[in-house]
Amino acid sequence: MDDLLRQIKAVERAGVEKPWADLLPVLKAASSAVLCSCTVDGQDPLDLLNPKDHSLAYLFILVARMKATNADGGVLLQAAMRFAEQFERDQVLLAPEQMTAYGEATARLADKIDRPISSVRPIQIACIRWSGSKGNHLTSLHRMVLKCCLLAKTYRAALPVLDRDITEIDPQSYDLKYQDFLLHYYYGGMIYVGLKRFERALQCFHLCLTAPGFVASAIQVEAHRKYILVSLILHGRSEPLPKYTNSAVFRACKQYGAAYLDFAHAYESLNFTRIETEFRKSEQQFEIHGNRGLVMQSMTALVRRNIQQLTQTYLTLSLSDIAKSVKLSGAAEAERIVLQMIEDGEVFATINQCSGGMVSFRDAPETYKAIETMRRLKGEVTQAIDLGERVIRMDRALGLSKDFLSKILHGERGQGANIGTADDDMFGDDSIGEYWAGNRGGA
Amino acid sequence: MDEIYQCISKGDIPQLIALAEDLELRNSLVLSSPMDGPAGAVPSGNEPSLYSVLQLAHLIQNDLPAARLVAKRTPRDQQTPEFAAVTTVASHLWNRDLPSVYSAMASTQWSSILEVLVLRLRNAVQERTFALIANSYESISAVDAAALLGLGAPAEAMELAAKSGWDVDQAGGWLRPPGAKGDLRQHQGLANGKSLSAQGPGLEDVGSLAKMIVHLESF
Repeated sequence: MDDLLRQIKAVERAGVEKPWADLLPVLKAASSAVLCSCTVDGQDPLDLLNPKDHSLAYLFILVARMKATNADGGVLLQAAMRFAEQFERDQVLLAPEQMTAYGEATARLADKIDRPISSVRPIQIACIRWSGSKGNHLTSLHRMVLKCCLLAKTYRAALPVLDRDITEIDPQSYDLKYQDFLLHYYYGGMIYVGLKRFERALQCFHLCLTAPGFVASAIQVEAHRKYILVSLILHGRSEPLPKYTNSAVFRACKQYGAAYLDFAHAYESLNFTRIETEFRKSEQQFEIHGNRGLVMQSMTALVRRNIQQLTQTYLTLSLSDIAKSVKLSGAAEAERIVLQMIEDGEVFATINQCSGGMVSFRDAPETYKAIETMRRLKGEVTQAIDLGERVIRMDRALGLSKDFLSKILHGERGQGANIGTADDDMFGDDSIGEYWAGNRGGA
Repeated sequence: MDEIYQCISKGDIPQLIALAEDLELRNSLVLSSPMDGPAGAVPSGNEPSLYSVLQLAHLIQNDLPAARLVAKRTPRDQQTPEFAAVTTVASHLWNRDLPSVYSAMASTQWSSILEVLVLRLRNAVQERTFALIANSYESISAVDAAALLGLGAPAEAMELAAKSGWDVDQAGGWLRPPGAKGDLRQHQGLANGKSLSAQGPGLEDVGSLAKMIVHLESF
């Protein structure tokens, strides 16, 4: 250990441009026994190093220590927290797989002391800081934060990570696997469901389902089940999967989600007895899959949806008639539900108790004049412009990438040349121009 | 905890939530240190449990799912009788059983710090309900209004209604809020609109309009 520490300090003193790159092989070569040891005079290397200046070394030692069988949760979790708050991003970017190990070890340690909540803060902060100032990079820590939050029931702590949209996925720099992406959106969907933000939840499950690939994952099958239920709650019907879903997922969902598809089918009829039968038939399955809660929520939403349907037929209706037609216990319950629906903006109506409990349904009073509407419109237009620009940039970058160009050149030569001449400034970059010329010469 | 108390007395609820959540997560990192606040040791005497404070704060913000999660994750040794009382109030709110909410609040002897929050919650629920009634009832009996608003007697509801300019039918016991539109958002939008329309469109709006047009022309 003393040797290692000397080397770490030496690298720092050397004052070269990128000192940490030189240190990386040394740390990688060090055995876990060395990394776990103390100095000769019995000092803890984690006390001697500073997580900010020596982030890389700190990370390696911390991970090795946390992985050890006799790891001391109390000390190490605090060290993990110190590291998360202070590490220097440039240094840890060199060792993404160590960051993954950091997350895993922290979570395991928290699990060992039977307090999942204690891993939430360190991993959350590490994830946010690693992901960069814009936070649009997916990292291998993303799914871990979400999982910890689910286990510790601190869903809100996941929001700083989850509310920022991911636009950059760079598997090499952030140690990502295909499953990381799927799990991120699957867990994300579950968190939004828990917070009753169903629209975002649906979006998450949708992203998980439509991830490009050639095989179906069990994660996607689970996501599909929840996707159906959430869209029933939100829209009263389940949207078919989009065309660009990969065909293996398509088949797997049909096979493993049959009970859910049947339920959704019955649900769309809005017929209570039919839905009830379908529910009884698959109740056990729902229970085993842990989706019973969502199914129950969709059943509650059904009453509201049925009341909404009434507004299309009637202008006024008595509370007792509402109760009768949607099978409630009585006028009092109907009144309570209608009141809730007004509060949630699901129906526009007024209740007149004086005339024996009449409900008058009204048209949506949105006049598109309110300041709030304007502000939303403006916000969404800005967002659209922003996205449009980003897509153009990505399109250009892709068009310039060597992979794409060589594919076009070798795959469909004729077409490739056409694209090349049609858009000259695509090849403003000299190196690419050379690359192009060279290839053409060769051909 | 001191900062949290300051927030409570100032009534800065969003800040209170941020602080309490942070404290909860940080405390969880400290293992078995005896006198280290709510997550480390069972609160004693006058100090309310952090979980009670956090739960109440979420309720005041009308964020029921968040409050429910707090209740679910509170460790067993932190579930003081007072915490249980907060959870009862929360579960009545979850079921939107307002009369029970008020009675549960009234029937508990709250510690001095929580009492401030409970009172704030009571006012918040009352205000929200009042706005809801004003918008969704063409007429409502004073008895029902009193129950929804947690007022002792129908007469109090009548008094409140009269003060807010509602039409009060003393003999029949009916209250008629003027201008019920069946939509809560409109009501709030109007209030916002008033303050903003006075300013008129500013340079910023013109700027964003120009940006939008430039963008459209670039296609």
